[in-house]
Order: sequence, then C-alpha cells, then structure tokens
Amino acid sequence: KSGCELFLRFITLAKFDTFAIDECRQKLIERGQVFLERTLSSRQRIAEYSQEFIVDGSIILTHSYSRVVLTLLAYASKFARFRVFVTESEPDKSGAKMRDELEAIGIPSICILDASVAYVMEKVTFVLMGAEAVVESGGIINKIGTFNIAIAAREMNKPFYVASESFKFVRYYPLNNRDLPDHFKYKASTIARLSEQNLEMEHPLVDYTPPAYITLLFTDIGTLTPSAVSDELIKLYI
Amino acid sequence: MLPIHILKLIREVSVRIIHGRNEGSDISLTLQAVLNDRATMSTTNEDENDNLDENLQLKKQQIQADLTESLPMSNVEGSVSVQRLRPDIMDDLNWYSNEIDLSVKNLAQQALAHIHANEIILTLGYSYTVEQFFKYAASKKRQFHVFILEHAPFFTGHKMAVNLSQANIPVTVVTDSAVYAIMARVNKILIGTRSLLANGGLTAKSGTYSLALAAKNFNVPLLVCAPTYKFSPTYLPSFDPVMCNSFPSPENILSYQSSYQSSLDIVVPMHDYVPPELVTLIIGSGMGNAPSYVYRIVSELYSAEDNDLERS
Repeated sequence: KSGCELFLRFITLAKFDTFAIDECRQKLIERGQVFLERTLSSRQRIAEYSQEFIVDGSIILTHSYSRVVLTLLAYASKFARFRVFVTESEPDKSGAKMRDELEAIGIPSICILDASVAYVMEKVTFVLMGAEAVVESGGIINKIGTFNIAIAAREMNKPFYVASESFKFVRYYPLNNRDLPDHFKYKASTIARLSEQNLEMEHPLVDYTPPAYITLLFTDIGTLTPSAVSDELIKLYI
Repeated sequence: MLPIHILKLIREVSVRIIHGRNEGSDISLTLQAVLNDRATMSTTNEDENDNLDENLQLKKQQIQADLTESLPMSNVEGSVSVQRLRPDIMDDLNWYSNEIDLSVKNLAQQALAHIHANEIILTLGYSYTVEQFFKYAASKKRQFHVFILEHAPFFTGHKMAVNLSQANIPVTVVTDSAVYAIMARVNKILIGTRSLLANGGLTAKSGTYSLALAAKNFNVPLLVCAPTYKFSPTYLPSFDPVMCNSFPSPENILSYQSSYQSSLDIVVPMHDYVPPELVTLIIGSGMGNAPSYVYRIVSELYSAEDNDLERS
C-alpha cells in the first residue's frame, strides 16, 4: 500500500516545463523507470550499508522468510562467518524455507520452534528481522511472533535490528496491537468470509512491534534510529 | 563538474588522514564544502574529530596544497572557476576553524543553566570541556562542590582536581571503585566524551559505563558536554568491548621489568560504550538535547554521502 502511494506521489510530483501531452507522458514513464530501478536496487544497498554490523562469530536470530534479510545475509557471508537461527513461524512454516535458502548459500542455519525463542535468546548475538511495513512511530508491522521475539531480546539486552526498504514506510500511527486495522491482520478472503463478530476467533497474521523495542533500522536511505523514521518519512512523502 | 572534483579531493584526503591515525576508526574526519557552480550560497558541513588542533592544521595545509595541485587537474574552463571558488573555500575553512575554537566557549556559557547553587556534581577524570564549564560557573560566583573520579590507571582525575581547585572550586577526589557508594549523595553527573555516536550513545573514557549504570540505578541525571565536533555519524557495529576499542600499553600497571610477564595478560581498554538509554541530556553548543535527537543534529552537520568515507 505504501509502495503504491509513494510511486504515485513520485511520478505526479515531477516538474513539467512544457504542457505538451506527449512529453508529459514520456516524463511520467521515465520517472516510473527511475522509481523501479531505485526499488530494485534498494535491497543491495541495504546489504552494503549494514554489512559491517555482522561480525565474525555472530549468532543471528531471524524470523520467518524475508527476502531483504536473505540478501543482507548472503552479502555479509562474503565478509564474515556467522550462524543463523530461524524461527519456524507458524502457521505457514515459512521459516523452513528461509533455512533451506540460507543453507543453499552456505550459511549454517537451524530452524527452531517459535516457542523456543526465549530459550535460544541467551546464545544469540543479535536479532535481525525484515518488516512488512514501517510505521510513523518507528515501530514495525511484521509476521506474527515478531513482538514475542522483541520482548525476549529486550529482556536479555540483545540488539534488535530491522532491515527494510524505504518504500515500506507507511503514514500510519498505531497505538497498540489492538489498534491495527483488520485488513492488515487478516487476509481479504478471511474478512469476506466471516462477519465482524467471528473475526475475533481468527488468528491475526501480523503484529505491531513498538519502537522502544527496536535498536536500529537498516534502510536504503541509511541506518536509522526509530526516532529518525518519522523525519525520513516526511522527507519521502513531500 | 568542478565542485565534484574538489569534493572528491577532500574525501580522498580525509580517508588518508583516517587511515593514518592509529586509533580506532569510529571517528571519521571529513570537511565538506558544498559549493554552488556560479550561483548562490555555499554551505559548509563540518565533521568532528577528537584532536582538533593538530588535525585541523593538517587538514587546512593539505587542502591548500591540494588546491594548488588541482589547478592543472581541471580543464580550461575549470581553472578559472577554481581561482574564483578559492576565496569561498578559504572563507569556509576559516569559519570552520573558528567554529571549533568557539564551540567549547559557547558550551561553557550554558553552565549557569545546568549547575545550581550548593549542588554536588560528579565527574570522571580530566576533560577540557568540563573544566571550562565548571570554571565559567565558578567565575559567575556559583557555589558548588565537585567530586572527581580519579580514572585509574591514567589518573587524569588528579589533573582535573588541581585545575579546578586553582579556580577555588571545592573538590573531592574519589577512587573509581567507590562510584556506587557515593552515588546516593550526588545531585548530577557531568562528563565529557571522546565522541557521540549517531544513535545517541557515547564512546567515552573507560569507567564511564559503570558510572552510567550506577547513575541509572539511583536515578541521577547524566549530562554529557559535547561540542559540535564530537558528533559522529557512525554507529558501533558491535558492542563487543574488545573489537571496537584501542588498548594502550599496560606499562602503568605492571612494568616491563616484572617477573611474571609470560603467564599474565593485561588488558587496558581506553574507551567504553555507553548506550543512549543511560544518557539524560547532551549539552551541545546550542542547548540541551535528548540522545534520541542526535540523529537530527548529525543529519544537519553532515551530508548523507559522507557517512561512510571508506565506501566511496
């Protein structure tokens, strides 16, 4: 949602010197291409900016399947040796897929139960997540189970890093987990199927992690603290 | 494009200077002058450095030398512009060096706002900034008492005690290990730092972390005096104290002549990392700032491209 909004703003807020319709069309298409290139290269840029945070001998905990984290770890594996614990992340068990892809790159990784996060946390050097959206407060919306991990990391004083591209920054400020709108938490088919009442019985697919639990965000515009997110957000959306 | 040549030159010089220093590279030295081609303003983004005089002089000389060298480097139309831009650059450099000289003075001017009458203030070792801060408050006839942690094994606290008592400020020197014991009696803590990181954390003298933890426990405010040149755009990649630190010789602790050398490993870390949660206020040349606001100041001081010189 945020990606589309940013794209629209990017192409429509371009300056037009002439009023010829063909040139305008041309310009719009060019701007679209620029936006596309920037978003495609953003993962690589995130990997380059944050590669130095992964030092030799790190043990990293990650959650579920994230392409950004995958790119980051693949890039960092050229510079350092480290191990990864991946949570299984029910209900779709996407953690197993992440583990397979990491092993294919050559990074030793172990798939653990979601329930064993607190058990494993003392061995871990830091936690690295992707995000489905980064909200205005500096918090993130990510696969269910993220907030669990954040609380355990905070309790054990482990840094909690989030890697996300800048087009995931969304103009939204949830106050707590209950405040998340239904269309974020459940699939559209689920909402269509059930009425208002029965949604209470469904399991949400995402949760909101407040900014207090996040140490740093790695984005393609640089490394940010959660308090810097709303500043960057405003700059993006102007 | 001419300004890009100059910027590249400045960046190359900076990288050379960084590599030449034997300390850890968590403070980068960049002098950026963002120049316009023919039109309007020229803004200068400055950088920080922990040994300002030496580096600044070195930097100025280098840039002057390189500027004259770069004249042949640029083409026909270029050489005219370099001459024209030269006074602008020299102005900016002078402004930069003035700013650095004055930043400590500006900081000291705020002493009266932070030091109240009959307070007991704790500090760690010797810091020029903090000394000026205290001296200014004393010169305005503010009565206060200073506890100084002696900062073993370098014992810089003794020098601070001598300097402050020359300004007729009552001082008490305390051993580092007693920091927890006296914390209950202290009203606030005022320290200097080697550098301020972009997340609001500090790399400060060793011993600062335990000071900060004790302060947190007793809810004593921790104020950090940081002139503009100490703000750094870098982050610490790892909190491992061995990895990101420098270690001077342990001669002070156990001399080379001692007989137990072979089985003994002596570690003398120079610096500590203090996380931003433990810092209450950062006093800069402007006014007091929360550690979570440091990113804003850093983004105003530096241009985004210079955050990692080694890359470009």
